[in-house]
Amino acid sequence: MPPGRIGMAIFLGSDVMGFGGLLLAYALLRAQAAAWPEPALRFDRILAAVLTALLLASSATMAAALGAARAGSPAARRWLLVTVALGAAFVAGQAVEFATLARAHHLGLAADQAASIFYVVTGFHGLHVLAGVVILLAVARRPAGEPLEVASLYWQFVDLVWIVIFTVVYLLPARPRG
Amino acid sequence: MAERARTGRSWLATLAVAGCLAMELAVASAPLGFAARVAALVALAATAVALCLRQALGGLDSRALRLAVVGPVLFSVVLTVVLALDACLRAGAVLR
Repeated sequence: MPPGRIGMAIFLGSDVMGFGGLLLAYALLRAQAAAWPEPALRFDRILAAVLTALLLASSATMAAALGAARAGSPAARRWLLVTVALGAAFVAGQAVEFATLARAHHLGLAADQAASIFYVVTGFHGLHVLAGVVILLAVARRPAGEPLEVASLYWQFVDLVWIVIFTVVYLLPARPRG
Repeated sequence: MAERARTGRSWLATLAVAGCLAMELAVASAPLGFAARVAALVALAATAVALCLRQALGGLDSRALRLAVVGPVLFSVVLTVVLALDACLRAGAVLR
């Protein structure tokens, strides 16, 4: 059993607990709040959908890089660099979203509970994407073998977590009161 | 050849996930009741996650390796849920 993949599996297990804890905190805050802002009114869903599309596309290009590397094709590096570009675009888009919320809508980290937990959950995920971009850049020097397999596993995990965050944070409607 | 087929399947899986998320977007702004919208969103998200997981695990060579990856992750999910339930019960007892 390759030790790199076992190590990554154990890391992902602990990371699931990190994200699980944050999402549970989000759920508890939302369930106990007297009023929760409607996500459709607070967030730019179009931007969030574009960011999601970028991450989904990067998932496919990562799989293409892995396939090319296994086949010994030089296209592996090209696919990997496309993945890096998509990941970097996601991080940049998230930075724009945070800046717009904070400046234009006056929704800083301490504006209310909903804003605080939003920044923590999506920011934690954004840091993972940023770390993934750095890892992929390091792997892109020689995209083959165990390092690429392990990096691919990490990247797919980060994409998968975003699907949950996108649904829970941006799409789930606020419960009607009364 | 096998790798090319695998990459093709991966693109298809990504398209399917994108389809699920597009349907989620449509459902989120559809004139449905609260419960119906939440149920539809959860079902679509679960489908997208399952497709994504299948794609991620499909990149692994052997069944043993897939189990080695899924095992710790599943263990962590169960442990997180158990700890959260425990925390909720304790918090409830303190509040009472």
